[in-house]
Amino acid sequence: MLEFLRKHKNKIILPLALLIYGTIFTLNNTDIYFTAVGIFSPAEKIINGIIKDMEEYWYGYIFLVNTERDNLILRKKLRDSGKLKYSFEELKRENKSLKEFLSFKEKTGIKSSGASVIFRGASSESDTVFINRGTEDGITKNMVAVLPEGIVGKVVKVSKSLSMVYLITHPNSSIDAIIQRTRDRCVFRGGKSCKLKYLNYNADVKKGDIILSSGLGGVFPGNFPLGKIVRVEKDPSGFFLNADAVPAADLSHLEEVLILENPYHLEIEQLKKSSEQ
Amino acid sequence: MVLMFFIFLFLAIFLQTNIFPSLLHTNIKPDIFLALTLYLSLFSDSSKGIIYGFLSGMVLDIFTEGAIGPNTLSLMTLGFFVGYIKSFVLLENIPAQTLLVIVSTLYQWILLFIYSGVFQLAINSISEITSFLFTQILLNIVSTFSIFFLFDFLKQKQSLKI
Repeated sequence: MLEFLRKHKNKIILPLALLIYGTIFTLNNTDIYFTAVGIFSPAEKIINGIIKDMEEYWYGYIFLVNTERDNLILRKKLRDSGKLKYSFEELKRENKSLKEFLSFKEKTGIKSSGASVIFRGASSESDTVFINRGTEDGITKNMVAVLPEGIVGKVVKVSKSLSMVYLITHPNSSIDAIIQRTRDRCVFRGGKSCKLKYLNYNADVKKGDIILSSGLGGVFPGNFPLGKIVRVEKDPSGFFLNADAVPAADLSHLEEVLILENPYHLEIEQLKKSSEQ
Repeated sequence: MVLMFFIFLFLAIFLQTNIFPSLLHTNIKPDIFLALTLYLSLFSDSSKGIIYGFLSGMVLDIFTEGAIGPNTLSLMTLGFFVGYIKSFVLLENIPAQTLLVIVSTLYQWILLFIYSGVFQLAINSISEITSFLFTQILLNIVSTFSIFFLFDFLKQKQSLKI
């Protein structure tokens, strides 16, 4: 038997590998692979921290050396106080974003918690990010990640201390939306360039119109900015308008996000409890 | 070779998930997993390419979507085909290697687009895909030759020690 396998290994290796691929593909329904990613998260957190420190150092000091004007200001400030840290610019930015988060939290009234993006999907153009919060911090599937500028995505996989977020640009993402100005309904669909699907052919939409989440679907809360229209075109079939959109939030430089508790999920849980009683 | 593969695989995870996105400030990044698969398929036992491709693709998929996906299939089959054709191409020929990187990148992404289509995902316009693939191919050529150079260097050092 072994002799036979050795002799014909070049012929049987591909079908065998495909069979193994098919078998392990069926395990996609379980959380086994995501748990494996979770094992790496402490190391990813450390590397992320090192990179952030280096960026902080770069933008807070080295980058400014080449900027004469900023350098002069820095030198003056250094002389004055003697205490200026390399991380001043970074802290200022962080402070600004925290302030924005705080006012955003108060404005929305939905329970939320902050999370840091610790790494992005490994493949090129992957539309997933991994955040440093998991079931331990009360994160569950279908919670929504947002920035003050707009919706970022939703949580699709959760482990103890790590969660995976599908960005709204993910090809699998479809969100029920409305155009802010005209109140026309459509579906905001992810992809390399986001598309608006099922937009009424006679809708008076134009470039620059803001797209909001409608709240239908039970995952994304309503009236949150999703993006804005960058191109509108009439479909030759005459049924719908074709429109391209860009996300409102800058998804390529994500560092911190707010995770919103799903209000619909809470309502469902409450209804379940009351029906049980 | 096996130990080197696992060390580089480990490094590739951090490079692609954390370091490249921070350095390049774009979603397109060089594919170290593809480079590893190509090198090991070309310069090791022909039947091993498929195993290296399978492992590289699996890690790439898991660290992209937390599940097994098209990259496992594409890198696994690439490992097999490259191992199969290596007796017909000049291994040390730079243009041949460059062509191999281009063809491999195209193969990988064509398979991904087919997979996306099968699963009812959005397929984008040809111009967007072309510009994306062009950048991806350039980055892959650079990363592949860097990996080839590194592996050759480490192999030489190892043989000198022996």
